[in-house]
Amino acid sequence: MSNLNIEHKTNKSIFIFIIIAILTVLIVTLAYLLTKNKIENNKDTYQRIVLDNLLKTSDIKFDNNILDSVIYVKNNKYLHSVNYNPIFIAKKENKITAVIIETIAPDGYNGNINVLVAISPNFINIKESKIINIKITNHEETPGLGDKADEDKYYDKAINWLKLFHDKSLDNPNDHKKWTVKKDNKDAIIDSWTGATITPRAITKAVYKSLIFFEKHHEKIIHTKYKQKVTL
Amino acid sequence: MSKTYKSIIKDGLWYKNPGLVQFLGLCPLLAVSTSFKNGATLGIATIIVLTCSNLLIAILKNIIPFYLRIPIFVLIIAGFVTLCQITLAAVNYNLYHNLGLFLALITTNCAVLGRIEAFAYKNTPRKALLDGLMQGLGFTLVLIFLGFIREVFTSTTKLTPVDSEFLFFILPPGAFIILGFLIAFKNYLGQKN
Repeated sequence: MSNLNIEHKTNKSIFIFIIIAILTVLIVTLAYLLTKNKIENNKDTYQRIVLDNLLKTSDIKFDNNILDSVIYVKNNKYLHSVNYNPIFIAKKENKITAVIIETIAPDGYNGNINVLVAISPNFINIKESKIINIKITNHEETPGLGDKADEDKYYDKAINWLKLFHDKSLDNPNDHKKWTVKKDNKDAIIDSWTGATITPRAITKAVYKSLIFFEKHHEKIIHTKYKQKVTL
Repeated sequence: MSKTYKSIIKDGLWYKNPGLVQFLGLCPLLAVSTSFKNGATLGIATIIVLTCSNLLIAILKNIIPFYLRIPIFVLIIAGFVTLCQITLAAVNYNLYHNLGLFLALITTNCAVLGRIEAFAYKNTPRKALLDGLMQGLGFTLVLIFLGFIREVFTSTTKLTPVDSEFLFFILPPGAFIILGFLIAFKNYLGQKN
């Protein structure tokens, strides 16, 4: 008799557990569905603002829907693709004014560093395509040591260092040995940070590689249909 | 063992402060207090999760079977944390993006599960609501204080005009030491009375 009692109690308990679980999932799913569109819009707005700020400082204008003018690059060794690296194409009156490449520096101190590189293309002499601006969008670097380029944290201090990349190209400096931090080469173009060399070096190398990538594949980039995923 | 409303308030803020006395939730306490803004935001989220979970479980306590209670507690806590995340992403995406993983980690905060087990499961909804509020507030006060100290001493952001390279308090060992001093100071004040 008591065994049956226990079994009934157990069944009842499990039943309650399942009901609570189902209710929890239903409520959370409902909240998700109610806000899905708003959150997507927020994400897009956020992304749009990031890209806009990247180009704003150099007076680069664009009038196209930049979030839709994107191609995805997979498995590229210059960009160190994890999944797909997005490349955004900014146009004014149907002429390309900027190409924004998201690249990854795999050799940060604590792992991958995502860098957005905005390039002003020079289709007559590709090597002269200049960097407009760069932004660190994701990193795990040590706070206070390796995160000095995080402009969301350090505002002006970060931007002063990121400015060093402005107007640089494969032609300027021409010597690939100068495309590093001053600690490695006193003629280098990028300042090192006190107490942290690995991070600025990783970022500099990644930016350099993105320029090489653009030089190699610019034809394919501007001719690929938008929203396509390509292996380059 | 019936607690008065007054004692619930005093316990949450001082005598049973989750961070300084019960030593619950030390992991998020130290991880999140790297800046004032992070500490304050996540403190508020913790208050919301703790209060809502306490209230709901105190209401449902007669239905929840004893030996299945822990999974059910965690289920409900995770549900509220997810609702918090969704709400924040919809209302202020910037803040949500900056907090990253920390919001989701409130689910693993022992202060929440501990309070539910120790209080909400055994008390009236009204008292559980107050307890959640006060414990959360006590936790948040420590968070804000730690966050402020660590940010000011390290001068990582615009909170200080000082430009120093003194990193110790932003790193984990420094955080532990500040917390230790805080606990010692609280005990000293308690002893005087």
